Amino acid sequence: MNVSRGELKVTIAKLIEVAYSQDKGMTTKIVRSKGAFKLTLDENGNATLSATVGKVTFSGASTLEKIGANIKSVNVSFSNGGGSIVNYHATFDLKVAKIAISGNFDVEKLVTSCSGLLCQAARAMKGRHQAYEMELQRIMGH
Amino acid sequence: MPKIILVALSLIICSCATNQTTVPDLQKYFVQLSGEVASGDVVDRREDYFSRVYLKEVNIDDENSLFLLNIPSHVKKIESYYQSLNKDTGCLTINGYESNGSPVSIYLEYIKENSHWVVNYMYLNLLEDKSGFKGKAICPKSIE
Repeated sequence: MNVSRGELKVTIAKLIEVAYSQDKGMTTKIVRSKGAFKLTLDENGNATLSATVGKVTFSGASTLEKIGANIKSVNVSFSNGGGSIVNYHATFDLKVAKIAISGNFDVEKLVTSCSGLLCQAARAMKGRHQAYEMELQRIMGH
Repeated sequence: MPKIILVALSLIICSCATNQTTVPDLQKYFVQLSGEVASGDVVDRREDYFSRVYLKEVNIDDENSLFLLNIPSHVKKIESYYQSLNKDTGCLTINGYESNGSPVSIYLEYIKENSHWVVNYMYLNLLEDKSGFKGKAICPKSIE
């Protein structure tokens, strides 16, 4: 088996989406804060999205299981890429190996996709909505 | 007397030859490992290529964990490589491309175990463009 760039990028978007479903107001504030923010996920599946404006904690275990590469933890650093563009650099830790990936996305598009009907439909289908996966990949710059 | 000198000389030459250490070509080991991954033999031959510490994290009955053995398959075409060596450890940087042409680098830590050079740690860097290629050997554990 192998892990694709698309899968990794979608995982980052999905983690933000879980944070959003947990605390819509704070997640939006963080991702629109125009400053640097971080997303971390530890070995027990505890995830935190944080910035100087605040933080959201949530469980990211089920999101990570979908990658299927026994990833132990995740660290993503986000920075302002100008306008509504956010740059990110992510590392996925597998204890004896690491995977790093970078990219950027339009935060407005991500937030819109997560508050819109498409996002709700995807959640109702437990994230197995192919069109939605494609949409997330596109937004995350893949 | 000349016979004794000759024997002594040949003993010295012999001893020098035995003490001479050959510089390991880590890139060659990586290419061999990639070949095993491509042929599907890497699971059976994993102990020839990976350290004991590395293999502790690999459960061959768990398909998800086999990803750790398959990381080299991300590089389909090697563009450049760099290695640095200490006595029993080495670092190898492989710059290349995935099957779809996307640039990728793998930074590997090799260690000498039972007189064999084996992979002890890997860092797969999925790059956006080839300007991310490093022109030197990167030791993966040193990356922040």
